[in-house]
Amino acid sequence: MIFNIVDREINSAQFGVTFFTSSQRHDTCGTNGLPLTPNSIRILGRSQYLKSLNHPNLSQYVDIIRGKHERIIVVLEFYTQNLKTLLKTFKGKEQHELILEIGSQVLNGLKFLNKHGIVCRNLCLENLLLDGSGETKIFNFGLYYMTNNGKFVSFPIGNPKYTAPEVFLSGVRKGPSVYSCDVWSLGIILVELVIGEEIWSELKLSQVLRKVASLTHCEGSVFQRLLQEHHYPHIYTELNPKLRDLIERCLDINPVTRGSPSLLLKDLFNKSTKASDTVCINPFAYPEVSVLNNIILSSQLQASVPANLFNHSDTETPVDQKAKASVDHLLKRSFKEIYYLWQLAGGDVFAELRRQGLTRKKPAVLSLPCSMTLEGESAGKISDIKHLHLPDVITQAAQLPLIIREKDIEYQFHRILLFDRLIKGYPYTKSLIHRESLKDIPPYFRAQIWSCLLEISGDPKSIYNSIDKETPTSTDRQIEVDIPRCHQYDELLSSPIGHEKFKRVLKAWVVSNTEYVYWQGLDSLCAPFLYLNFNNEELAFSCLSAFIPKYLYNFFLKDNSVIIQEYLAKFSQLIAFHDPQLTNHLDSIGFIPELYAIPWFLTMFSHVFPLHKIFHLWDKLLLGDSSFSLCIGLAILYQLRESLLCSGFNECILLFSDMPEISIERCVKDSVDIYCSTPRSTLCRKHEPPPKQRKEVHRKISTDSDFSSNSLPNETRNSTSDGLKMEAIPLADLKKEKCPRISGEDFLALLDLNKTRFNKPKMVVVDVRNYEDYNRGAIPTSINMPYVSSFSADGSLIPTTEVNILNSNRGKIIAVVGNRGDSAVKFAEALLFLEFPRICVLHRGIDIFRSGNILVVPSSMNNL
Amino acid sequence: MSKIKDNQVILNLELQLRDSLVKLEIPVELPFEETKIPEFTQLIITSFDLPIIVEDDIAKKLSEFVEKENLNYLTKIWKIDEDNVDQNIKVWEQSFRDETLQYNPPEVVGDDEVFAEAYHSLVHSPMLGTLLRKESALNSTIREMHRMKNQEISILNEKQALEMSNATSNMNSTTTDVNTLATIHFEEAHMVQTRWQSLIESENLKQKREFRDWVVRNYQDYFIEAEELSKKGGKKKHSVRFDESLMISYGDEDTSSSNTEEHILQESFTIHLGSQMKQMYNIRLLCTHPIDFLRFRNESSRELSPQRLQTAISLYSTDLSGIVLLTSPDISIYNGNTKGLMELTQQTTEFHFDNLESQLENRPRKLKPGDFVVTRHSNVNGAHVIFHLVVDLDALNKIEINSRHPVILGLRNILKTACLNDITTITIPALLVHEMAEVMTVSWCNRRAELVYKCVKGFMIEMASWGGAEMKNLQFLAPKDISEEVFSSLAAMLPNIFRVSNPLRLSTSSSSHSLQHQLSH
Repeated sequence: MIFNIVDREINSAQFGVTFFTSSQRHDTCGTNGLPLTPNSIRILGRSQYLKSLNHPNLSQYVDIIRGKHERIIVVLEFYTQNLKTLLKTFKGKEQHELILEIGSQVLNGLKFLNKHGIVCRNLCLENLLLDGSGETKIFNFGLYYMTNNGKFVSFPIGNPKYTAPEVFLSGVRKGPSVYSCDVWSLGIILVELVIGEEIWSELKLSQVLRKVASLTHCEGSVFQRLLQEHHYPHIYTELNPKLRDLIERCLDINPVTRGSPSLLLKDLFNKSTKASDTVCINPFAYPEVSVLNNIILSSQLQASVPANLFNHSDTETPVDQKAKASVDHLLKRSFKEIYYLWQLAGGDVFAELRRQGLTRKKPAVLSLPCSMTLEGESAGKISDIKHLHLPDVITQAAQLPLIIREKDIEYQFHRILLFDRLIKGYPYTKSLIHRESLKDIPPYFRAQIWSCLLEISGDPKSIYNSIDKETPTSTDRQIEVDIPRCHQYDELLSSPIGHEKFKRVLKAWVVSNTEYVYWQGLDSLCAPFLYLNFNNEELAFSCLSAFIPKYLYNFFLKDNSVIIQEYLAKFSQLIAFHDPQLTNHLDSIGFIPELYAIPWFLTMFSHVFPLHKIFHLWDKLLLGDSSFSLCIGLAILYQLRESLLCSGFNECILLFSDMPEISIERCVKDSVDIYCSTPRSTLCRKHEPPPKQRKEVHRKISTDSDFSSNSLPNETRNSTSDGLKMEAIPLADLKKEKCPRISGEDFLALLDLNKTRFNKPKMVVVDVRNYEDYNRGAIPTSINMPYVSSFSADGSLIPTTEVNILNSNRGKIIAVVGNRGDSAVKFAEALLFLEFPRICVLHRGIDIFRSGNILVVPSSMNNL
Repeated sequence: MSKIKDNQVILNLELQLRDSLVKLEIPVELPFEETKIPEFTQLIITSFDLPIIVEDDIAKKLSEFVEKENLNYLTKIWKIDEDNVDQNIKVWEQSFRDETLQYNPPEVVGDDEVFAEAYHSLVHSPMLGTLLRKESALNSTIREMHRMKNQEISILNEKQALEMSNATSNMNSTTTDVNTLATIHFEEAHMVQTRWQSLIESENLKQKREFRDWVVRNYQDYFIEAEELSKKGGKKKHSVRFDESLMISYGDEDTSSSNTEEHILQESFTIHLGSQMKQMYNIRLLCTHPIDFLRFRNESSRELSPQRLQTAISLYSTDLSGIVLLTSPDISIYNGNTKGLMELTQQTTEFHFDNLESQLENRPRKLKPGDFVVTRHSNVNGAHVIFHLVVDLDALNKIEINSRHPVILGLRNILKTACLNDITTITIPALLVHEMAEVMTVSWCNRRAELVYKCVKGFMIEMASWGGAEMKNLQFLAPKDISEEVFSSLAAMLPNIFRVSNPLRLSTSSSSHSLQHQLSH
């Protein structure tokens, strides 16, 4: 029972669309004082789960969309053939085997649903579709589930004729239902198949209801009675005994003895659990399809797609055939992919519904109420908009447009195919995924790719399951306060299901990281992962757990002040390195990063930006290391630079209190540029993630082509002396120094004495020791500007040849080299004040080169 | 396990560990979701510190237990209610009949809707020019009648004034004579008024009928036939002629009139609301009386007015405009703003809706502050929908109000109605008054505007959860006669309250344009 995608109807991927209106909620507030969540959002949240269900006898949920005016639109896999259209063909004895097979397939589907806590309550002939290979698929099975057992809509769910009698007899109640009520519906369907016609087709609604109810008082077999009513009593004896048995069991009046689908399957078909019942084991919950099949297909596609798939010109006859072949391949992709591509190609479900005249609505101006009282009671609504449920409005909306015009669709398709294969090969394809992600990350696979980049491995599900998320803890209250304030513009995250998942993931993190505490902001950090892995809490949790040590190492300690202060001090130095003017201005008004940047870094900007922007930002962040976020911070300041430069302290506070719009594309680009043009050692921190991880990260960075500009040293040097390495500076010192320090390693790489890397020097070396020391031995190409004699009283440089050199090289990195004392630091700060960019100080001064044979006597240098 | 709730049952687990039999009692809450079984199993293992080896055993027992108990529990809930069988079935029937399309086919499309569809289609087709010219021609007939009526009345007035002065100057005439003459005059004037009134009214009716027929007929000719033809494979019969008259010029003859046009103090902002996801809105503050605001300006008989074009195009769209008009509880068409509105709407025929008087007749008899009545219009400028918000005008001028005041709550209901009915532009009196009075000092104005701004901002944020249309344009009207000083302080308050977060910046090469600042007067 493999989901056979090869036999799918050629040339048309069909999607069924059903839609309905959820009931409007009354105008009240919840206990927490916040407005209540609209029912449509609640439905949207609940229905996400349905998308993760995959079974050969269920039609796949593809998308659920929330429209205006509380309308919910559901897109599912669809086939034109259903049992109603084929009803006549089932007549006759020879079809009984087939009917029995249908019965068992439906029971299989129902059993799978029950195992996932779902009751269908909506079975009828039309909702049983037949695909090309004769597999029965239950359509629209999630309506009762997604509406929280019918509570979120005003209309009753189900077709009266097929509804089990106990449902009608226990009053109009909404709530969880007994599984066996679907079995009854199946019984009625089987009866209709057996007799080849619909029962009670002449009866009016009230008669049908009464008829169903009266069956409870039926003496003897309901099946026989139905047959007699429709004048087919002879069928009872002719019937295949197994089928007769099945129908009899289904039409048992007592819901308890009727039995659940799984019981019936066990009793009648001897089927215990089968392999096809298990959900995908893949941690990424990738649509379950035959893997082997797919890889073969996609490799064929690889061959034919790039040139031909979307080539729609009629003139090029030679490629026609090839193009046709590849179109078929397109249809072999999973439904979700086809739907995604269809949307990219301009497909729009709303437009499709409108085109078919299904969402006709009275013009708004005609449906206004006449008046409304203070209490909100409206009178004389001109048109009483009913919340109508269109039960089976099916449009074959998505005749996949064969002419797909836009280039980027082709590109996306290409990327999807590529990543599809890479992800399947994970973890062996780790480095390939990383390399491809540098280009871009296709949105369709973002969740999976992020998990790969965060190197999730093992069995996230059982780890997550074993964490106790139920027992109350002291942080519960804070979590509950924070969640309804976190990215609530998003429909998924604002739904009650979203809140619940949020809470579970956060609690799981708090429980499993006892060394850390819950800081406000963790909720924002969790939001992107939860959004991407909405149906996969364990993966969201794993990503969060992997993300924090990598990018926010120790940020969530109970006392994180040292870590944050160091981080912010580094941030200040980074600003000074790239933008001295801004630094000088901010220093002069006393606007320090502590005042605005803590939420930025503590949440990796997830508190500052909306989700769609975070995605683009993190796409890059996940490829870099923890210092990349400093660059993002600076890139944001770049965009606000002008306002900051002309603002005083109060205006700056006001500006950041409500972050203005930031162009994220520019921000991403700028931060990559900053990252690439900053020597790594200048960003070195004491509280970086432990070296093991760091090394790995470092190696990865060095393999990528985009990220490492040629100004960066990227091969790890086999340095003999540890003195050349960077070592963390105590926080107190760090806070004192405005300019960052550069390590000997980076220094040498940038100096590039052998001219192997750069044609032009990237760096000016300023030696601030006194003249004598300098002449005794100095770094080649360095210029001597003794600290004591270089500045006039007002802080400006006293003009010399060296100053001219410095001025003409403005924009290059200026490395200030000194002795043990603080003259180099002071000199650097004096230069900073004069708005020289890119100043750094050589860590531990000239001494580190004494042992090597780098230093030369300047007079000899001039002779060269 | 001190107390057991109604929906709790005890799971008795017996586990064979290496050398001992362990008995556990675990309370399970029903209905228990099957999907939670693996997690619950883990919870049992960790909380009783059991060896991992029993995991499968527990999971199996738990799932059997859950299946059994869920069934028991649900059967109990869905117990057949023998006593009320009939009643229950009736309720079911009703609910199927009311709520599902299967048993409740959509209503027959009403005349209004047919007309709306036809009009909307024509307005968005090359027929637009023809249609507007048709409207314009009909409008000028009415205007001509108004002119003739006024002319006749003024001639009559002159004549009567002459007669009266003759009568009073004539020594012979007694007071009785003068009184009689006055009565006669009054009756004459009344006669003329009534005659014209009924003439205009019948002309209105005639025009409305004519116009609607014309629209539906043209729609059929233009669309239905074209559709049928295209089905047969033919081409559209009606070739589309470029319509020069549609080129709305702000021509030379208009310059004279627009010069006389009074200048309106106004200022507008573009704001971003929301902490992470920014939503963009336009906010505009202008100094004008609502009735003046609703009047079409720069109209000449020869050219199509851009305002009318705008009104027509959006009338049946999902981008409606609304305005809040304050009114006293009696909403009388003989005084106050309603009278002004009445005169305004009578200028031309209302082709789409009932006239104001009959729309207002439908209102509930007793109205209190905070209630509002809705009327719909196609022949006023800048609003399709007018919310007549009932206030106690005198009291409102004097007292300080807070955010729980009925008027504010009424404003919230209006915004909600607007949001749910695709009204995306709304105009609100910034001070909750239309005319200035003695008591309204500068500080009073500032306090009142602050309250209104803040409340409206709150409602806008709340609006996201109402699931309707997004408000796009928000306009505040300040009374015409406020001083420039007050106006600029009201305007300055807007960016502060609506968090136009960037301070005023006059640089041109800015990267983020959170604020566009315009001042025109």
